[in-house]
Amino acid sequence: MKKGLAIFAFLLVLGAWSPTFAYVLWGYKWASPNITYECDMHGDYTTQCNNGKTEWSNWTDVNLSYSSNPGITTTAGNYGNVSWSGLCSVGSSSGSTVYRMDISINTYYTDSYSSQKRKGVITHELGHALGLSHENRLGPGGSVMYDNDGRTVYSPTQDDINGVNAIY
Amino acid sequence: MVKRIKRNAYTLMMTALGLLLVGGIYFSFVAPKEVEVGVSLDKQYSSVDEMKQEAQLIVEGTASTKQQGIRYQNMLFTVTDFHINKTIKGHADKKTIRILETGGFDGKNYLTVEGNKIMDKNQSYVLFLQKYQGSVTNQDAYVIIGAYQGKFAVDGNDISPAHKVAPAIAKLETKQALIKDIQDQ
Repeated sequence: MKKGLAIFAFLLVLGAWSPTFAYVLWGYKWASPNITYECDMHGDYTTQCNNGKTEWSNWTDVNLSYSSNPGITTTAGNYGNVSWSGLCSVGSSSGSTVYRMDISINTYYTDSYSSQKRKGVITHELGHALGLSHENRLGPGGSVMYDNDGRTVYSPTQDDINGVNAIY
Repeated sequence: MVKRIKRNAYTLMMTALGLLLVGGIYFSFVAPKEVEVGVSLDKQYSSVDEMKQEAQLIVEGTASTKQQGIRYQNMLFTVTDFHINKTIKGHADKKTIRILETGGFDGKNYLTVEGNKIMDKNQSYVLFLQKYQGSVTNQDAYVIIGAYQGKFAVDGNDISPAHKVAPAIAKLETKQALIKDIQDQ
């Protein structure tokens, strides 16, 4: 009887346990946590790109350093009303290892955003470039990887940091 | 007799292994794959009504075989000619309109947005559209509301909403239910 109760209690605790992470990995990673980048932008875009880069670099196990021949390139241009404000595409890869990631920021939308919201878009795309996918389970305030510009956090959250550290 | 069976079995086994190897190499290194691009959407639509309010044009029709890839500032876009069978909202000047989508076939892989490929040739769709405003193409074109959210593949009476849409949109299974949703609100 006691043994049965103990097993029941154990299963109850096990069932109630939920993982402390929510991050979703994209399936890509860099060969090394030392990754080069360039913010090939202008004005406040460059400032916010560097702010986003610094946060990922300081808060996670990756080290982002400037290069004129970078792994991650971030540019800004007007793509029109295509419904996305930022986009990250794999420029070069072999299997799941990436060698180049291209980030495009769509100024059609972001020109009217506040600096903070603009930084959120760039930081989100940098998260993709480091290997994170979208994370909506925590809601708009739980992850910078929330899939749309309704996010209310503009810096990597602990969950985002855990996600990147799980990769590198 | 036994020798001959053994020899045949050996040849058969080696042929099967060879085919497996060639197939493995093809699917691993040669065959086109779906490659996701990571986007930040400007907006997630929560309902058909919300998309309807922002759509200038809602149509049912068929994607033609005419598709044109456009490389613009590092990113691939595709323009597809779309034949309108029925207009549900708004007015189109022509029976065939151009739809601009992000992604497409880059010669090696299919670039997708949230797992959504561009429209399939000869496939029927209901589309929620806005006039395209931008420089990717200088032709008259429309874009789909929410990149892919306003795109429903039609197969007879069945519809398939896009991947990664709001629950109220994802649950729609029939064309009648979609049309009712559009007309009710």
